[in-house]
Amino acid sequence: MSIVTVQLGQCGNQIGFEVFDALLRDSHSSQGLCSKRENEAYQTSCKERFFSEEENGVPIARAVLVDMEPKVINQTLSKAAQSGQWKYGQHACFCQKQGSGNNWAYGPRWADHLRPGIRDQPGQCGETLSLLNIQKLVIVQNYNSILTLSHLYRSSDALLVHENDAVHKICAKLMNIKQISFSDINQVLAHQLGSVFQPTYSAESSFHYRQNPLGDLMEHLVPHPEFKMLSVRNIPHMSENSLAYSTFTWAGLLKHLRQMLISNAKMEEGKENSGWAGWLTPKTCLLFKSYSFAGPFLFCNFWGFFCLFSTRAYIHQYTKFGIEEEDFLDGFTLLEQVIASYCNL
Amino acid sequence: MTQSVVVQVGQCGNQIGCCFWDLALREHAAVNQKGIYDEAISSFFRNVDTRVVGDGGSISKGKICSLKARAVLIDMEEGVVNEILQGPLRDVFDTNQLITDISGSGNNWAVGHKVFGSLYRDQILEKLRKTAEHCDCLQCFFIIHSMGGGTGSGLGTFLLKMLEDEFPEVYRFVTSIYPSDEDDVITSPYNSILAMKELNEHADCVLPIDNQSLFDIISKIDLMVNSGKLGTTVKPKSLVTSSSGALKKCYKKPFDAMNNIVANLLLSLTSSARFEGSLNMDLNEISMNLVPFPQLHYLVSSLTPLYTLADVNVPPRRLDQMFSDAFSKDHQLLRADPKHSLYLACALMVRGSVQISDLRRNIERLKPSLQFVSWNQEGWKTSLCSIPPVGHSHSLLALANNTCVKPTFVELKERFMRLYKKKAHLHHYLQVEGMEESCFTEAVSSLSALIQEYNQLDATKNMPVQDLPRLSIAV
Repeated sequence: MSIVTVQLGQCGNQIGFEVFDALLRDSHSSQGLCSKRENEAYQTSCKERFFSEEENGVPIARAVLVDMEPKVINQTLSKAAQSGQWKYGQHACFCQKQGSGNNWAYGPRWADHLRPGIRDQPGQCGETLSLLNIQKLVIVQNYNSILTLSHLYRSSDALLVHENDAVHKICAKLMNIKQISFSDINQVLAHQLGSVFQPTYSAESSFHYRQNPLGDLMEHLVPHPEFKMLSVRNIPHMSENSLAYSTFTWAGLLKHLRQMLISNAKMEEGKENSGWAGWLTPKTCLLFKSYSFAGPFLFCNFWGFFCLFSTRAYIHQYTKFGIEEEDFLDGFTLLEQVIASYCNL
Repeated sequence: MTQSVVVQVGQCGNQIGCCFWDLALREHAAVNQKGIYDEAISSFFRNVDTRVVGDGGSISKGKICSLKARAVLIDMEEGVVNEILQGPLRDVFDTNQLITDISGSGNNWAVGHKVFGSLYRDQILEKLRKTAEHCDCLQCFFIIHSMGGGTGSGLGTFLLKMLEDEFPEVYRFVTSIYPSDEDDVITSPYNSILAMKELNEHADCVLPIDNQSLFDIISKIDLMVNSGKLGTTVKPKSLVTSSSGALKKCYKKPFDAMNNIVANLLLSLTSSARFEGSLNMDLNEISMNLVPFPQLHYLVSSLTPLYTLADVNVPPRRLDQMFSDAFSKDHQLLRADPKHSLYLACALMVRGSVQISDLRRNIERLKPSLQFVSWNQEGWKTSLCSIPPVGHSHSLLALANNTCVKPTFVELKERFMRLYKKKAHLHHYLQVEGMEESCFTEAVSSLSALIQEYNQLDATKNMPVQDLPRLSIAV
């Protein structure tokens, strides 16, 4: 069963590249704690899920690259080709020339052009997991995120939220990187995301991989369509240098994860999370949970949104392209409802 | 990838434009070692097979044959444009791209705007259309002109309205040189204020610059270069003022050094759109993030560093100094002090070997000393372009939408009123067909309204952030 990835915009394409690169490198790596037979089964499952095979043996990522201007897509395509290990499909891109100018309103007009490209990807699964990356990089972010979040909430089965600030801290404190680049941040994210989607053992037997990982994930973590926001923690995080010198056991890792879960719960004043799932993949340990900070996170976005909206600052940039004040208020209303639901837990 | 067209109007506009094209060629030559015509070069240059006569010679891919600037050169005197066509850049410009006259505008906005505007409208439009047709996806017009004279000020702003009508989807970025206090053109306040009304109404973004600030920056560089500070040598070609060759104390023409600063500004502004980086910023993002209300579109700019020391290893302290300098009043290209005024928004466009952690660290460090308007406290827009300018390892362009532009406008208005009260030189303008006193009064009103907007914003400084009413939803 395969997974199709749609990489959107500069962020999506830069991270997407790192994910596929990490997945392939990981499945080829000789390091590991498993037997040769286990490794081979894992490699096959991984490849089949994320890549399709080409004639001369170079796997093609099951992905669609979308951007409103060509620089990043061109860069991503050539980086993949240069690796020699894998590449993107020749016709897997949808690109325009002008860019979106950080303006959410540019987007909707392209929906019809995009649909065929995604539908044509073979082996689509039924569920949609949207991955949302957050950092304050753009002034009109609060407007764009209200519109994005409200639309994603309606159309996705689940949202996985990542905060760049948290990843930045991991790079600085746990991995000791001095001058942190986006490449460093994206590689940590890719490691996390790769761990999410890598083949995992099913409950029956350790040689059978789960056939429908996303479906299983949703079943455990999204009990009700109102609660779609997820976050993920994974360990271990360490620089390549330290890896050679450390030893860890599964028991130790699981204990660490449990502690992380409990300490988070404390910050929520003792309320229990609505669900968590521990996933054991052959290489790393993952903790998936309902995004316990969904309430505060959405609220922070709202504050920024209201500050701008109260003066109608930048609104003229959106109305030029057909997004009206009502659209913002509709988006806000939906998200206010989500906050209320999370707060009532 | 998009293309931009430069429209250089008047003596000042063309002299700056000339420096811009020289620097653009050098920048692309430094980056593009293989001589292949790529998308980065295509943003400002066409690739033409000169053996083909007429218009059909464009080559879209492959080796560079002959580069032609996407430019239209307009001047109502011949001197400056003729000099360009006899100089080292003569092959970069197409003779079809020029519009000149003989007599000049006599430092009179009305002559430039009304007389030459109507006389040359169709010709200018035709040349602009041709230039636009050669673009695959035209995104932006860059207009370069001065405010104080006749052609740049009058005809330059006439163009703005025409561009808005004929190419409404294309952005209009205007680089305007404002007259300094010791300006030698007596009627410059009239010309400037008449031009300001057009800028208010028809420009998407204006980068106001004044000669005095540019001159002060030159003096600072000269001091640094000649002071012989122990252990420091300035890398040749790394001055923000340098044109071809190594350090030069005296320039061929008096304004060369100053014009090169403006040329550098325009290149840095477009660098993230032309070259790759980990956080791109296209031209449409500048307007989107920095212009919260349509009329408040004046952006004060600063370029740092002014020179690169010959140290190969630049420790973070030096890098941080680059960020600090960007906010100092001595580095602004306009007489303005953004640190002591109110920010509506700020963009930091970084080039070269700088990473996101450096950006974050410096924004956190500098934020406490800057005042942002209450409704946009996190009003930062940032970009990271991998390619540094020629001769530098890294550089920073800061664009501030800040109330510190106000004093420039207020002073201009005062100088205008001193002349206007006495009706001094007014007859030169009123005798031009289509000019009436109402043109002047409307222009002053427009400026007064703009100043009033900035006053209202300044009044909110130091006020506590308001408690905004939440919308309440029935759950």
